Amino acid sequence: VRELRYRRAGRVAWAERPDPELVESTDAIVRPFVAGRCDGDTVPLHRPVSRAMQLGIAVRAIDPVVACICGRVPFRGPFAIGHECVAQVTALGADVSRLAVGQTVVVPWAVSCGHCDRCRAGLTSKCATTTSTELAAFGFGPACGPWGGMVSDLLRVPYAEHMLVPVPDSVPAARVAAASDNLADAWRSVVEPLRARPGARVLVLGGGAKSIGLYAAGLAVAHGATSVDYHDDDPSRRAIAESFGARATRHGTPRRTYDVAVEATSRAAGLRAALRVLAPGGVCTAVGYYLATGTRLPLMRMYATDATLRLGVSHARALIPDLLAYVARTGFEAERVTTLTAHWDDAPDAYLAKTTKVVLARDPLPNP
Amino acid sequence: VRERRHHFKPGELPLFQMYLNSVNVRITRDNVLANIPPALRLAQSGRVDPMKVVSDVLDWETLPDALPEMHTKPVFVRDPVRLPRIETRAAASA
Repeated sequence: VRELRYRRAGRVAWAERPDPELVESTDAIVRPFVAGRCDGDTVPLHRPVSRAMQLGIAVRAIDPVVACICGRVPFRGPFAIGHECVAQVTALGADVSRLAVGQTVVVPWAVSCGHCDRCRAGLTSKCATTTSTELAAFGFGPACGPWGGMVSDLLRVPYAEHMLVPVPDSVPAARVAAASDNLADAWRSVVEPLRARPGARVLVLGGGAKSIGLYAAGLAVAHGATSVDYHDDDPSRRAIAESFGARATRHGTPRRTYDVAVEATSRAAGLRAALRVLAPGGVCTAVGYYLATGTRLPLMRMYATDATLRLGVSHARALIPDLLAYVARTGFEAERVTTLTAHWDDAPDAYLAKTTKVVLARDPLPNP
Repeated sequence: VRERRHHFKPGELPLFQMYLNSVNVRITRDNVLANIPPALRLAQSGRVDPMKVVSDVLDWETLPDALPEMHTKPVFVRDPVRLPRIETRAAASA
């Protein structure tokens, strides 16, 4: 089978590998047919960051724990890339009874077992069974385990009955191309805070985690925010945010306060700005990468306003069922964020595109 | 610039470690009014003895001298004034 491999900045390519097989009786084999490009994947794709990050870790400017995820030499190719997909089940282990061959499913970006204490607490991306160092995940290279990438003809998924979340028939697969990661990440950044603060005023600082910021703006409008302000210097993304009903402007100093903030510039300065404009009791979810060993934050300001800063990998598996049910019920048009839909076979070029959100698609197999 | 009041400097936090551990940080003054009734009930229940934290019980009159000293948790007391009994709803129902 073919899988898409990251080679170096500016180059990804198809590579052949043996067909995956059912190893455990709880495994499934799936055939991805829609794949999204995670915002985080653009970090090594568009810039040669490997050496700079290695040096940063050596002098402790970058937190050494980064090496536990993307390797001692971060993002050293080749490794299989991709961790957002919608797939069809093609084979099931003997102990998988709640799924059927041919079923369409979302595969979460992180591998989890579903029965350990952390999984039961909703911390599925920190599963105690599958995580030997920091993360067990698809598409980040060997430091996150042997699971491979999702832009692959076939993929082995362990703990399949827990891992694979069926997509409701009424939901187009391309709509939830990013449910594995970025759409779920946006979900936790606004839906949970809005449930606790109905009618909140929401600020999204976008442009770094490009698709997450847009999904967050759209989900915030759809979940009853009184107002949603989206800041981004890119006019095409501002247009997408406006199409969701958000008020979009260029980056600048916000002149009001917000109950809920989403920091998606992926920069420390953006995080400081978001924290400074929180209203009393406000919450800021930081969805970017902040790799420095120490990041300066306005802690006294946070103290004075009663601010909560939420950091963390998204526990996608715990969120995807609610997210898919919501999309099925409301028809939320997440695909507005997709700026390039390319044929699966064109992945080596399309995955490199300097655009907000790439989605790869091929025909699903006819159902048996 | 070295500041003497370190609490008020911008602090540095290890955000990537926090990211990997799914950490929420809430920094706030205690919103005390909402917490006083349950705190009093807890103290009344006897399950927690707040007196264990009190390092020194000192006479009110010693405040000017004792307050600047490095006690862990000094408490200053004087006799309450005898006031005419006030009927509150809580007292009435007790």
